[in-house]
This record gives sequence, C-alpha cells and structure tokens, in this order.
Amino acid sequence: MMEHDLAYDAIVIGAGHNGLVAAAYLAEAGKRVLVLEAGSDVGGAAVTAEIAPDYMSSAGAHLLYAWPQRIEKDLKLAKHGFEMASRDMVTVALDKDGKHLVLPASSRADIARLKDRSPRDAEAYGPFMKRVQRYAGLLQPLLEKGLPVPGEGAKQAATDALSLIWRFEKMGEEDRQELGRFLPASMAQVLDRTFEDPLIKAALAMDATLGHHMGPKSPGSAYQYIYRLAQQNIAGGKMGYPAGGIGALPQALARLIGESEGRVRTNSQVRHILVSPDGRTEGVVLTDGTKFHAPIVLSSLDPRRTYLDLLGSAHLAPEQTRRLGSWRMQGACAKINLALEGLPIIEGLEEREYGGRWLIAPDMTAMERAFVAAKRNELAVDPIMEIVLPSYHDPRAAPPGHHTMSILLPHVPYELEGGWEARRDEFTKRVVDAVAVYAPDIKIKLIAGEILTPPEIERRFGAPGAGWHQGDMSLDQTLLFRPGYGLSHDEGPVEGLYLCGSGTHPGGGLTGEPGRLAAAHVLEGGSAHV
Amino acid sequence: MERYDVVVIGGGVNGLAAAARLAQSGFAVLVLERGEQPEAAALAGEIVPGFKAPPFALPGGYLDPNFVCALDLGRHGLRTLRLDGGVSLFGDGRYVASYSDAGVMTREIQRHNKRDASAWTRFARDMQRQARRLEKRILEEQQDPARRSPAVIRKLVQDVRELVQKPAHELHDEARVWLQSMDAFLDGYFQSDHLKAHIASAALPGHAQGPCGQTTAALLPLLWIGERSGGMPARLMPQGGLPALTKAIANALKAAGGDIRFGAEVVDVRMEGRKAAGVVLSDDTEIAARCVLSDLDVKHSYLGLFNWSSLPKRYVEEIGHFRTEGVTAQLDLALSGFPEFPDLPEGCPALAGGLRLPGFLDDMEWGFDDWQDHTPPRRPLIDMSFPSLADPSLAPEGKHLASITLHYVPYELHDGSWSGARRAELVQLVLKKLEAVSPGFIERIEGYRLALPRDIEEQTGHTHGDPFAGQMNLDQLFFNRPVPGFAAYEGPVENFYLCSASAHPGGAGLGIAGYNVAEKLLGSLNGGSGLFRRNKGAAA
Repeated sequence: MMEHDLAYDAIVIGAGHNGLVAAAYLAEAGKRVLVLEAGSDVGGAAVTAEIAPDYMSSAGAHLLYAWPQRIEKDLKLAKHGFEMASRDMVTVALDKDGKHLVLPASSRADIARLKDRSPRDAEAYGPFMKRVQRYAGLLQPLLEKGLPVPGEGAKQAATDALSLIWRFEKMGEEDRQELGRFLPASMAQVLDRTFEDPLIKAALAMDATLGHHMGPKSPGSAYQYIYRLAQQNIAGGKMGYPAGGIGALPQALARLIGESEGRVRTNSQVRHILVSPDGRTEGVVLTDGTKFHAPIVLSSLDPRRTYLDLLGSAHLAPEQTRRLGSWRMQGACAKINLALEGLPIIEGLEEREYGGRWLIAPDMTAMERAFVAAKRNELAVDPIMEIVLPSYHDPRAAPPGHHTMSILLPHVPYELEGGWEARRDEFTKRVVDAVAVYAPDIKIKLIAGEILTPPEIERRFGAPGAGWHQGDMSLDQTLLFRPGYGLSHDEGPVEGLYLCGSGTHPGGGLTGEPGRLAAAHVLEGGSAHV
Repeated sequence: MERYDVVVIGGGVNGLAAAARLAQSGFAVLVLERGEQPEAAALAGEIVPGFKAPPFALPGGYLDPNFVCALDLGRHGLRTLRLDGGVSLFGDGRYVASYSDAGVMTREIQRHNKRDASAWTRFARDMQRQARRLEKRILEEQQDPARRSPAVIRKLVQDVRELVQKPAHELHDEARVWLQSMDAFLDGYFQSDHLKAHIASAALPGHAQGPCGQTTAALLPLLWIGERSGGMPARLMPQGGLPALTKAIANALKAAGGDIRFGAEVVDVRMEGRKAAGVVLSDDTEIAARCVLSDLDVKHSYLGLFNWSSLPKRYVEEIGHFRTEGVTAQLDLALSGFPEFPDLPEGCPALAGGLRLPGFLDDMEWGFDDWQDHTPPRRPLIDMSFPSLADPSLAPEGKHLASITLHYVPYELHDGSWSGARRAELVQLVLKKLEAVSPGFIERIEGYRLALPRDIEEQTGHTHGDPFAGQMNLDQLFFNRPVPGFAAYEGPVENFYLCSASAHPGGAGLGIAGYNVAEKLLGSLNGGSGLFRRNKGAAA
C-alpha cells in the first residue's frame, strides 16, 4: 500500500513546537495524525545544535520562560524523556559597576540589593508587582482558553464578557482607573512614574519589548508586559532550561507522536491545502506531488503563508485577504552562540546567578536608541541582549570546565544598511565588545562562535520576519484579533482548517498554547469531523 | 471686595467661550487675562512693517459650527472660511492634492494608483463613521467608567452585550482605528506611499507621535469631525485666524454684559474652607466669586495656583505626570511675491489649503524619533499656509505672508540649548527644502520670525508650548483627560473648574471644553438637581 493512500484523521503542517504540541494532543486522544515538516529536523526555532564539535547550544530559542507545566503533565512528557535541568531561573540585570539586580526580587538579599541601588524603588517594587499582577490576572483567563466568538449565538461570548466585567469590578476604583490608562501607554511612561533607578526600569522594560517591534517608549508596550506576565503565570511563573537544551522538547514530542498512532515526516514541504468542491479541507499536496488525505488540517505556519500561499485567496473573502495583506510580522532578532574555554567571570555575580538569564540593557534610553537604530536599518551602538549559559544547566553541552553562551539580540534590522553579509563581523565584534564590558575575560576564553543574522534566522527556523511571534503581538493583533476576521484557530475560512501556530491566539513565545488550544478545538467541536 | 458669579482665569478661546455662554445666561462674569489688549498684541505681531502674522495658531483646531451658532458669533463679527484643499509635494515631481469633493478626490488619487481610488470610498466612509461617533462624545461630559453607580454598571453591561453581538469583523474594524499604528491602518487601504504620506501628514501635526507608533491611527478620524464630504475634509477656519475668533467671542461676552480685564495676573485662589471662593491678583486685589474657572493648562491651574499640600497627594503626582510636549514651531515668512511651484499645475486650487512637504511615512517616523531623542530636526514635517490668500489685509498689496508649522521640533535639546546658531540652522534647513520645490523662494523673503516651542510656551502659557495643552494619546483622552477619575472638569477643589484644552476634548474642538463647562455649570447654577445638566448637542 502506498503511504499516501493511508487515511489520517488529521494533518499538521510544520513541526515547530506548536505543531508538535497540537499533534501530540491529537495523538494522545487516539487520532491518527501526520506531521509534515519542510526541513530535515523537527523543532523549528526550538533546536539544540553544535557551535563547534563538542559545544552545544540552543541555536534559536534559549530558555522556557512560559512553558506550561500543564502541557508537560497532560502529555506525560517525562515518560518520553523530557526533563528540566533548571526550573527556577532568575533574571539578572547586569550592571557595569557590579551592582547587579536580581529579579523577581523575592528574597531578602535581592531586595537589599535593590535598596542599595535605590531605597525608593525597593519600596515601590512590591506594590508595583502586585498591581501589574492584578492586571495580568484579568488577562490570564482569556489566554488559557479559546476566545469567545462574538456574533450570532453569542451567548457564550456574553457570559465570558460579563465574567470579565465582574473581575474588572472586583479590582476596585483606583485599579480600574489606572488600567484604562495603562493599556495604551508605553512601558517607559509607566516605569518613569514608579521607579528612579535606570537599571530596574530597563530590566522591567525588557520584558515589555523583547521580541517585539517596540521600544520602551512605544505606545502599547505596557500591554506587552502584562501579556507576558499572564503567559508566565499560566506556565507556573518560573523560567527554566531543559536537560539537553531546548531541542529536547520537540524531540520528546516527536517521540510521543511516533509511539502512538501518529507519524512525523520530515523533508516534506506542503504546496497546497486541498479543498473539496463543497468547501471542506481534504488534505494536502507536497511540492513533490505526494498527496495526503485527512478531513482536518492544522497549520502551524503563519496566517499569511497558510491562507495566501497554501490555501489561496480564492477561498477567502476580500476583507480576509486584505487583513492578511496588512498582517505585521516585525521584531527581528539575531543570535550569537559562543564556545568558551571556561566560565566568563563577571564581577559581583554570585555563583547561582551564573545560571540566570542575564540582561544587558543599562537604561531605557539605550533600549529606545537600539530600537530606533533597527527601524532605520542600522546597528545599535550599544546592543541590547539577553544571555543564557546553556552549559551551566546542561554539563553535556560543553567539555568539562568549558562553557557555551547563547546571546539573543532584539532590535536588529531585518535589512541592514550595507547588507548583513558585509557587516557580520562588525556586528559580532560589537556584541562581543559589549559583553566584554561586563565579562572582560570573554575575549581570552572565546574559542568558537556562530552568528545567525535575521535573514538566516528566518531561513533556518522558518520564522517569518526573523521574530518568534508569526505576527506582532500588538493591541490590534492579539486576542480576538489574532488574526481575526474569521481566520483564527477555531473557525478557519474553510471547514476543517485550523491555525495552530503562534500567529493565532494566544500568540508567540515558546508556550505551546496555540497548539494546545487548536487541538482542543478540533477535539471538542470536532467529534463529528474526526 | 468686587463680587462676581463666575471668574475665569485666562482669556483664551475656551475661557472666553465659557464666560460668554454664562454671561448670555444672565450671570455676572469676569475674565482675567494676564496679557495685553488684543490690539496691542496684534501690533507686536508684525514681522516687518506691513506684514501682520497672527500669533501662534493651533494646528488643525476644529471649529464647530454648532458652537459658532450657539454663541451667536456671526453677529459679533466672526467670518468663517472653509479651507478646501492642501497639497503635499515630495520633491520627486509628484504631488497629491486634497479636495473635499468625493469625485474630484477620487480622480486625484487615480493619478497615483487606480486601486487606491476605489479604496478611498471605503476609507472616507470608515472615517466618517468614526467621526460621527466621536462628535457625540466630544460634546458631553465624560463618565468615569471606573466610578460605580447602578446606572454606570447598567450602561456598561448593555454596552458589552451590544459589543459581543456584533459580527467579529465589525468589531475588529471598530477596534483597528483605536489600536493600530497609522501606517498599519493606512496599509489596510492604500498602496501609494505618496497618498499615505499625504493623509498622515494632515493628521500628525501637533501630536508627539510618529506614524508607526501603536494607537496613532486614532488621530485620523479627528480630521473628519464636523465634516460630511466624501473627499478629504476641508477645514473651517476663522477668517483672521485665532485672534479673530478670540475677538468675536470677547465681543459676544461684552454684549451679554460680561467683563474682561487685561493685564490681570491671577496669583492665588481665595478659599473658604475647602471651596474656591474667588481669586487674588498680582497687585493683591481680591475678587470674590461663586465659582472659579481656569483656562490655564492643568499644571498651571493646580500646581501654579494652589498650595500643593492642600491637594490630595495622588492628584498632585498625577498632574505632575500629565504629558505636555512641545512638538511644533512656527516660522512666519514675509514674501515679496507668491512663490512658484513648478511641480504643481498652474493655478492649482488646492494650494489655498496650504502646502506640505511631508516626506514619506518613514521620514515622519525618523523625524519623530529624532524629536524623542531631543535632536534638532533633520527631517521636519513642513506644513505651510498662506493666510494672505484669504485675508489680503495681512500683507502689503501684491505681497504675501507664509505661515509654516514645523513639526517634530523638540522643546529641549540633548546637547545644549536652542542657541541663535541652532535656530538659524533650522531656518536654513527649512528654506533649503522649500527652495528645492520652489526655485526663487529664498529671494522672495523680506523677513521672518521663528517661534520655537519655548517661545510658544511664553505666548500661550501652555507648558512646553504644547498646542493641545496636553498630548492627545489614548491614555490622555476621554475619561483619562486630564487624569483618570477627574475627567468631569472638576478637580479635587470644590467650585474650581478646569475649562482649558487640558480637559476633555482637548484640541479636538476650539472652545468646546469651555463651552462644556458652562453647560455643566448651568445645570448647577440654575439650581438644577445634579451638578450637571445633560448637553443638548451644543444647543444645536
């Protein structure tokens, strides 16, 4: 029997983490599911790869900041060999003078450090976090389950909306007033009202802008902060690093699928989604002409590629095509992964803090300038960075005593003035120099490195626009509006087609949530389909 | 001690509007203006002898015809003018002109892009729809959605019910205009970069926002307020500019028996217990009043006139954080003749509506980023009008006055101050750009006058020279203006009302804040039940 004659219950396009999560949930529910991946590996941007022989790093994404434990438990990932190396990573905002900040400042020692920098801020920190957590609490239920669909038969939508109002009511007058102003505001506005120390402001603003096409002064960035908090809360509130690097996660998911009634097929690029004359999905065709049939197709590609390239605008209403045409995918990033002959020594850093997530962002002005430079297709004079040491969590990542360093660089231009090829080395040097301000010995210890420019990130990981959101998480592209216009994961334009990537609700980051929710929609609404 | 029903601090358009409305209803009203007689100010407004440049004018300040009628300004000497048109030049030989007529506008767009011409109908319809909705909100007091009464809750529940029953795409269309950036929003309609820049450059002046920042699309429908045409909206302007409007309202005030006193600077508010009961002038004169209205911006109104410790601490902080920004400068030029623009067809009628050198959206964003970084403008948005076309008396015969609003000019610079050399550089930059699209422009200049944000601050009294007495981002609009919880014109001091543009609706309507306050007071002063008697659509 030829393999394309095999009938599947569902086909998932793309083996990024969201595609795999969706497939795994379906497989767990006993469905025969086929995952088709264009590349030769699974994982998308969640991969562990070699920098040089014996030095491994998480090539793309490099920590799990909002990975829900719920998915781990639902899918029993531990049984399939998934294990976390660290579950409680802190954020360390590096300071040039060695007075680093640790966030969240929960222990007495951390608060003392904050106090040392600014007594006023130490006092303001607790109430501020409580306040933003209350706002995040309002958002959280909207992210945890699929969104209500307004319109006809909107009973459920009305109930959900009223429950939102009820929670809004319970917040108290001052909170309510504050929230109305908070949502459209910039993070800089919010932080300037509350804090005085530039470093804590920069550290908090980092969570509002990382991965977004936004600087701290961009309107709407305060909302991003709340959104990320809500995502983190859903995940249990802690950042972590898996044993074996980020790539261990998709590997475990692929094993799960393989061990059940599912199958992951790599080197299989989908050309078309097949639609029956009566407007239902029937399956897909690969670029080599192979056909696979299934009544349900889930696409983890971004909305534009899914609907415009794979489905075709003939199946879309004019306003849907328009929506996809103006869908924004910005917020490019770059990665630099380094192999080091020893631990980089940073003055004033305590032992456990080497396992943290380091931020190099001295103040919001530098961050805003980096963002403006990126908008102007230029390199920032002072690059902004998020750094993780994979080998600290996972000793197998480097030979004994040696280390690897993973540097994520937000606010880099997708198109660089003069071209990325011509300026790779200049960029790398700028970044290494900037790290050396904090870890002077890094230049001596450096033995190998790789750089992934935004175009390379896009190509290698299939990440459109070199960001990890498949579409800006702006106010007009989240919640009901992701992507909205009848194109979201629960209601595609043709029956049986679902979005399951980060281009749909609840959006980007390594969360697996879009995949989980899409699978839930298929399983709930779809007993008739599947 | 003198005694009035109402004392108004500041004789700007809003203060005078409030005073005139109250005087017409029979109350004893006194307006105290720190500046000189308007006639004296007009004399000082000469650039070179014979050229009378009106003092700083608010960009795009919308004049509501209902407001003009309600105060009967026509009878008091106000002549209005519909400024149709406006042209953008790009330096690449192309131009986009505005016409309020839908058919003409569509043909104009067709020259650039056929598809855009059909998108225009959709765009103009959406803008009008939003503007109609805004108009209603502009002429009413803002309910605080956070404060609870059964009525507010009922309204909220009902609003949400209606909202969720709308089809998703309608809801989305609704939300887009409030949430999207201007460039993303315009991308949803148009392809032509020239057209997009033309539209954006009409909406941005005065606002400390770039076209790529989120929520900036909300500035677009403001252009359509009060406009019913299907083309690019015309602007209803007082003939003779803001001074003429001020004069007409002052006449209306005097005719109704109200008083204005010039050179009278208020330095303190008289208190009786916790209530405002009058004012004290700089020469120690005390004037008693049943209530006091302030046409100063919110910072001057509260932080300047009250002892901070007598105000709630949170309120003082909030007012301190209220964002006022200087973004526009004004450059007035005395020209020996009307400049030529070879890129434009002979006698282009849209030129009467002014001329812009906007650059493209990226240039505007660039200009905004420089502004935010306190760098002297390298890519200013140049918005030029020719007041002498409509009012030849402003310039000697055959000569012309050009008034340029320069957008994205910082109040302060990150390195040093606005020195004489820096000012000259800015003027040179602008003139160079103008000369590039109008050969011989520089030769025609007989004199000029540049007012930077700091100069405008001095003239208008608005902190930082903010043209709207407080920026109009979503977080400072409607129920958030000036600060959440105090959007109903009344702050923490009883009988003291804010009637300047710092209050709702800000720069979205000339004199409307003052007018709304008067309406609010008429509810209470006439012994009406609550403090506020519902507006009846500006008495229209």
